[in-house]
Amino acid sequence: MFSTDTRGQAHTLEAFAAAILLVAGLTFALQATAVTPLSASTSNQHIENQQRAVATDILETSAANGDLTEAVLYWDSDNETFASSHPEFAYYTQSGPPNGFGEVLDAAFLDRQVAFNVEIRYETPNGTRGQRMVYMGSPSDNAVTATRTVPLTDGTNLTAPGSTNETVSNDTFYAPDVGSGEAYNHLEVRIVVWRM
Amino acid sequence: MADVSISPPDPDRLRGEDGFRDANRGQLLLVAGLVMAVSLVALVVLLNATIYSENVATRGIEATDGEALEVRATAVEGTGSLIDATNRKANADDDDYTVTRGAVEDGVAELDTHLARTYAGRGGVTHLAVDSLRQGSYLTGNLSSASVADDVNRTRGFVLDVDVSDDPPVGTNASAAPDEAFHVVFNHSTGDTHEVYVYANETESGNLTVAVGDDGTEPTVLCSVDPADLEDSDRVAVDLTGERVGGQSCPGIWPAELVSQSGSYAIDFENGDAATGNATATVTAPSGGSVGSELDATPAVYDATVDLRYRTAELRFETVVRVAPGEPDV
Repeated sequence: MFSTDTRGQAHTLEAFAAAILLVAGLTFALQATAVTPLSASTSNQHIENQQRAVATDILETSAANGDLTEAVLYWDSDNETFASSHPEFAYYTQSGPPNGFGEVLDAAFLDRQVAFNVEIRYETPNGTRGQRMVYMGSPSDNAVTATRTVPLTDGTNLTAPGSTNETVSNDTFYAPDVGSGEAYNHLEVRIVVWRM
Repeated sequence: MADVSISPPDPDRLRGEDGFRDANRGQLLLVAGLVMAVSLVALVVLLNATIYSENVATRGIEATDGEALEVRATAVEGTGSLIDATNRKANADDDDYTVTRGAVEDGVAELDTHLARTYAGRGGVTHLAVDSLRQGSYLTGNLSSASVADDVNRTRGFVLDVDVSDDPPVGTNASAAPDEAFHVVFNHSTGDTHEVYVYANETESGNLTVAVGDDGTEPTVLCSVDPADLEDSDRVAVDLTGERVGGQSCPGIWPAELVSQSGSYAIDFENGDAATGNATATVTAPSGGSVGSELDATPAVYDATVDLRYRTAELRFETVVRVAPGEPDV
C-alpha cells in the first residue's frame, strides 16, 4: 500500500513538470520569434534598430550631396503643392518625391514593403508648424523616426521644374521668413518608418 | 559428473527484497528526467531574457548618441550656410567686415534660440555660441587671365561655373593643354606649381574635361563630363575644393600639397580667353587680413569656431567645432 501512494505522488510531479515544460517551451518560442510583423520581440527590436539606422543614414547622405535641400525646395509655387504630387493633398502618397531624395527613399524602404512618412517642421512667428512631403498613412506602434535640420537662407531658389526662378521668399512657399539677416528658416525633416 | 546446469535466477535476488520499490524507481527516474529538461528550458528562457534586455539597453544608448550628432549637424550646417549667405550679401552690398561679422554673430545667436526651442520638446538643453571668427576674403569674378589671390594659406568654396553652351571652353587635348586651355595655377611658396586645366575634349565630342598637372608638365586627365547628361546643360560647375565636376565626384582636383596648410600659395587664372563663366572662392591669408586680388574681393568671414553643448537626462555632450563649409578634406 505504501508503494502505491509513492507512485501517485510521482504521477502528480510528472504532470506538473510536463505542464511547466510545455508552458516554458511556448514562452520561449513566442519571445524568440515575431509572431506577426508588428508584435514585440527580440527580432523586432533588431529590425527597428536597422530601420532607424537606414533612415538616419539616408538623411545624412542626402544632406551631404544636396538631395535633401533639393527635396524640401521641390515646391510648385503656382499650385502651392510639392511638384507633381497628388493635387488634392499637396503631398506625395504613393512613393517618395520624384527627385534624388525620393529615389533613395523608394529604394531603401518602398521596394522592401516598408512604409514611410516624411514631414517637414518649420518655424512660424506663432510656433512650429508641419508640412507633409510624403504621407502613406498612420504609423504603427513600432514605427521609428529620424530627423535632420536643413537651414535655408534668403534668396535660395526653388528646385521644382518651372519654379526655378522663384525664391523661398515668394509668398507661396510653405515656410515663412522668420530669421533676421540672411537666415530664412530652419526646416526639420522627419522620416517615420514602419513595416506594413 | 558434476551438475553444471544453472537454475533459473532467483526472482527475489534480481528484484530485491521489495519488488514494488524497483518499479517506483523507474518512474522517479522519468520524473527526474523531466525536471532536468524543465530546468534546461528555464535556463534557456533566462538567457534569452538577458539577451533581450541587453538589446533594449544598447538600443537606448544608440538613440541618444544619434541625437547628439544630429544637434551637431544642425549647428554646423546652420552656421555654415549662414556664413556663406552673409558673405555673398556682403559682396553684393559692399559691406565692411564689422557688418559681416556682426551679422554672423547675430545669426548664430538666432540659431541657438532655434536649437533650444526644437530640442526642449525632446527633453534636451542646447547651447551654441561663437568662440571666434577668422577674417578672409570672398572673391567673385569672370574667368579671365587674372591674379585670383596673392598670398593665401586656406581656400574653401572655390567653384568655377563654366559656360558650355554659348561660348564653350576651347577644344584641345592633354598634351596641348598647358598652352591652349584655361587653367588655374597654384604657385606654392616652396616654388612648386600645380595646375588644374579645364577644356573641351577635342576627340570626345566636346566633353568638359578636367586635368591636373605639376610644374607646367603635361597634365593627367581626371574626369570628363558630357554637359548633355546634366540637368543644367548650359553651365557646368567645377568645384575645385569640393572635388566635383557637374555634381559628380572627381577626386584629386585639389592639390594634396595645399591641404597640409604649411606655407602659403598664390592663385592665378591663365589662358583666360579659353573659357567663359565665373568663379567664386573664399580665402584667408596667413596674416588673417584681407587678400590682394584682381577679382571683386570683399572682406568676409572665412571660418567660425563654435562651442556647442547638448544635455539630456542621460547624456552630456560638449564640443568645439570649426565650421568652414566647402574646405577640402584633410
